Amino acid sequence: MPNRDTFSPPPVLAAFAAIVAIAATYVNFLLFAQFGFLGLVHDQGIAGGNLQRVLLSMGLGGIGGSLLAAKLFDYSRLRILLLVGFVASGAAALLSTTARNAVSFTLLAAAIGASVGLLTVSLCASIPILLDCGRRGFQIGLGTGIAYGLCNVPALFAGSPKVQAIAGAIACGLGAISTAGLARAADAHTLRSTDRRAFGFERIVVVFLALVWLDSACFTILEATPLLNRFAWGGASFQWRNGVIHFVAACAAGWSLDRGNLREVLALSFLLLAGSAAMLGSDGVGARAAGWLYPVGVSLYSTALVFAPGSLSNATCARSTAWHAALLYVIAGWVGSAMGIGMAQNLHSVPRLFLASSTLIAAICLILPRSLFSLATPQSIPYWAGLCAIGLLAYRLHEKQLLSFQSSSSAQSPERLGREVYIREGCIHCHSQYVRPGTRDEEWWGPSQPPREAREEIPPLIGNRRQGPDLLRVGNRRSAQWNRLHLINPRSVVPDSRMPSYGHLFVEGDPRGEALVAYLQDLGSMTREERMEAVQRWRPALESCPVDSTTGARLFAENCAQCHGFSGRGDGPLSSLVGSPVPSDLTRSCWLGGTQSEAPERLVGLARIIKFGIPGTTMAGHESLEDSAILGLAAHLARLSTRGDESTRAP
Amino acid sequence: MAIRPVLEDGSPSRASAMNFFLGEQRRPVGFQTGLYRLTAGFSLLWLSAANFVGLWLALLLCWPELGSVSGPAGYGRWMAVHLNWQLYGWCSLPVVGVLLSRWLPRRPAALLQARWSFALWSWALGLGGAWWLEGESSGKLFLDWSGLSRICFVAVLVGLWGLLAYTLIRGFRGKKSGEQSEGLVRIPSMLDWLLLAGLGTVPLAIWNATKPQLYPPINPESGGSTGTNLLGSTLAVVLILGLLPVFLEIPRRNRHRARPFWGVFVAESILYLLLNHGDQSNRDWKQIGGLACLLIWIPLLPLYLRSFAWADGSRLWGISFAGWWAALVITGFAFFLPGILDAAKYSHLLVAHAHIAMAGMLTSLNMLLLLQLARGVPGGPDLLGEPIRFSLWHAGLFLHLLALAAIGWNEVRLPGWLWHHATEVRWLYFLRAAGGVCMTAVSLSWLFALLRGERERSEGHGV
Repeated sequence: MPNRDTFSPPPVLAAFAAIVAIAATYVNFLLFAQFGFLGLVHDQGIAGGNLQRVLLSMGLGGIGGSLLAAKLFDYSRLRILLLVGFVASGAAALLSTTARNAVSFTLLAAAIGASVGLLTVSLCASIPILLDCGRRGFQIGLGTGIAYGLCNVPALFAGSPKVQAIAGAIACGLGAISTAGLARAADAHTLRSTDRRAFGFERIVVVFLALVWLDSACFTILEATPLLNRFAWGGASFQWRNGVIHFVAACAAGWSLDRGNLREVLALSFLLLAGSAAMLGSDGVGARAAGWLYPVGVSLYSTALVFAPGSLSNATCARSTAWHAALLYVIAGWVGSAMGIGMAQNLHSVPRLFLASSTLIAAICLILPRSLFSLATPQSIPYWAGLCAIGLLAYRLHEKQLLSFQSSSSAQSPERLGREVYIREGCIHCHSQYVRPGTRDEEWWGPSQPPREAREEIPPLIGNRRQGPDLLRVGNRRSAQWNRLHLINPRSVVPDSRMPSYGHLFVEGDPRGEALVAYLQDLGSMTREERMEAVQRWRPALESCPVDSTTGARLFAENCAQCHGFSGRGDGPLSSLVGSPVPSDLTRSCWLGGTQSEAPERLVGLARIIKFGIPGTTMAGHESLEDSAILGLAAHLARLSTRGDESTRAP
Repeated sequence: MAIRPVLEDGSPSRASAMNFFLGEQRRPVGFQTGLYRLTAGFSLLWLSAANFVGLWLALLLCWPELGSVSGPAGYGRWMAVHLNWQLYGWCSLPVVGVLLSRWLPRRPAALLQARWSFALWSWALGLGGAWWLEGESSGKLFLDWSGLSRICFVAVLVGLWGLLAYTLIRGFRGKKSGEQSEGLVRIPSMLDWLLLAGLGTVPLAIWNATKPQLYPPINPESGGSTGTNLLGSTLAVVLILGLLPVFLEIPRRNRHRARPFWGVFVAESILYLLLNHGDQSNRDWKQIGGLACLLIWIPLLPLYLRSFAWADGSRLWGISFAGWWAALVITGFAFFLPGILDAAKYSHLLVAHAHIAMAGMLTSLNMLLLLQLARGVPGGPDLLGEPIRFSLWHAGLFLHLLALAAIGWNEVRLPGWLWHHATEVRWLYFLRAAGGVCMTAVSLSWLFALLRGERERSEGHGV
């Protein structure tokens, strides 16, 4: 339990002063050091190597300032250190508005870095005595949230670099004034220890490093990409929204930190930032989502960054806390941001491999050490050795199998090899190969097969679920080209398909893809005539009424537009890939031509084509659509054809 | 000065390098405690791993594009991993623990053999997983063992059987020679020998069943199992469930319930033998009637199990077992009936039925077994019988089943619904994934809590 005899709770004024100091530090850093200063540099036309030197200088200054703060820190000196930090930062901000060349900016950058380093480390190391233990997190969150909220006020956010520099200087001025109201340490050598268990410092530094790295990369990409920039900060409304999100998220993070949820806050922050980074490459919904997730993630970890040094190390000595803070800010803060910016500038994206590995590392740091500690002992060596051996064996198998495919493909018929591929890929888990006699299966998928015949296949591939259609007679229903296109990119053919892509089977020199197509073509080949007769006998159920025209148009867009195009002119995205014959221009076909009495029969013929496709072509059927939907589609096609030019309509 | 580890009973342990490398505790524990930790640890590890894969599959259904992350290992390959890890990992290892608890000598040194058993079994499962992800599979559901992984898994089964046989024979020799037993080695009874003989058929059965050439009888109407087959497999489950409490030597509270239980079992076994074993239709009244006989087990099995004095903390899992068992038998029978099977076959309703079996009934049973092994182990019953995790597990499972049932119901109502209502299906898959997240989190929390307890004990902070 906290030792309440040593320290009395800080008065409201002292807490207010500490919140102001936190907010001022963040405003100066976010608005001026991150934004305004670089704007001023840019305005002077400094770029390339000079710009890099300016950034390097700021980074080195930051590292130096942080280490210097740790060296000098003592509770008796905390006010003076903070005062010096605020004054130096404010002065640097004002001076930077007067700088004109690369050398002066380089020197100023070093000063800004050093003063920010001094300020942040001194402030974070002082938190244990500045703020009351039980409310510390929320108060830090409040200060952080206010700072982020202010920085997102459109007048400041979109203001000129000079305005931002002046705002940074004013913030530093307020921060300097606030130091007069900060709590004093009654005993400068003792800290209140919390009753919470310490969380490994090294691990938390790694997590913060990953967070800052991701944040910096995301920020740089968001800034540099117009579309993303628009969704993130594109207008006053977005900026107000961000300000509110930041404020609420920072306060919530602080509230949660007070309840001992440091790991949870960091984990959530990481997930949000990693999610934002993953969505940066997309447009539309993904970019919009990133615009929402990113500020929440940033606010969460920014609050934790101030909170962590004083609470996680169980240090009872001021110096020790200051060194923890310095190491955290040097490694996670300065190095992390440099790495993130560098990655974004060079790669223009956050690589998936980086995301995956950083997620793994963060997970290990946040979860595993506490719970799976027993798996990381020397006694566990045999288990891990066994797993490594399995991995090695699997690797060897992979090589062997590839070779066996290449060597045996000539000796084995493509259909047999294709069946092997079908088994290897686990197609059985989504596709059955069993047409149930006397059921709708026969109408949809083709003639049934007696169990005796099914058992002749080794092994029978009956399956037990249908995530996709039955494939027993698929060779009668789909052309080789359709299957090929669908296997390579399922959603290009069937937009809502849940099937994974098997494009890797079709790379040059790999016989598996074509073998699989050959196997699928072979399925049902013995029953082709039987199938054709059944198709010719089919008529829509008498009670079926066509769906309305809107639904018909929607069905056309979902099922036909890939080949025939949205307007039906045969110019869909796949039209050039389906081979010969090319998709028909449906506006030129006169489906309901001829005499009035022939029209219903022609409509049934059209419905039959829609339902079962055209054998020998890439025109696939839509067997599982209800008759009403088929008739609605037929009616839509008829309407399309009447829109075409009368003179060009084919009968 | 060398420090020799001391056992709970105060005697020095027979520490060896091998023991050390196989994870011997710094503070050696008694046989029962050690076996419980090993069984629960490995079982929960495989439950968590299989659930993780299941969650991954659920996410792949929501976002198929994610499949590119795992390269050539697509949905179909991961399915084999999920199914087999659940069956041969989570659903099998607690039973292995039960076998070891009965037959291994009850001294800490025997934990070395238990560790080897679990480690080898786990390596075989890991090897199987690697093989299935590489595409090596027999092509038979739940029996995907193929190539080297098949050889290794069957070898592990043979090895485990050999170990059990060895310990049993040692006990028998001790009795024959009149040696004074240490009080820790079991003197085998007739039941032990019969069980050992029965277990000896398991490796052979797995070896044969994984052959692609063998396939069980087919119901021509559905392509699925026949009534005879379903009756036989359910009776096998009933037999195992009937023997487990006897095998675990759980004290009986009521002897009268055993007679009707075994009487009905024998009667139905005779019925099973009399039924036709070929490809039989579910329209055959004999097939339906044979399967209807199973309905009597809905009350009979829980009543029989309740006649034993299970360990403390078993109440919640006992109730859930009875509930899931009833749901399993009822849905199993209903989904066999003509008309219902025609609609439900290949739909998500049968997937829901499978989850009732694995995540509902078998999980409850496994928890009962682990709780039984945890008797007298500090903290063991508290962890597994804890109501919050129990509730969360069931909440996740209900959510999962709700999503599956909703999809299945629509498939029954409107065949082809699954392929033409992408938006609704996707929302239901999200719901399913949420249930998966919940179950995975709970399984991980069981595992982590167990390991945390382990660590705290090894550091001397534990109870």
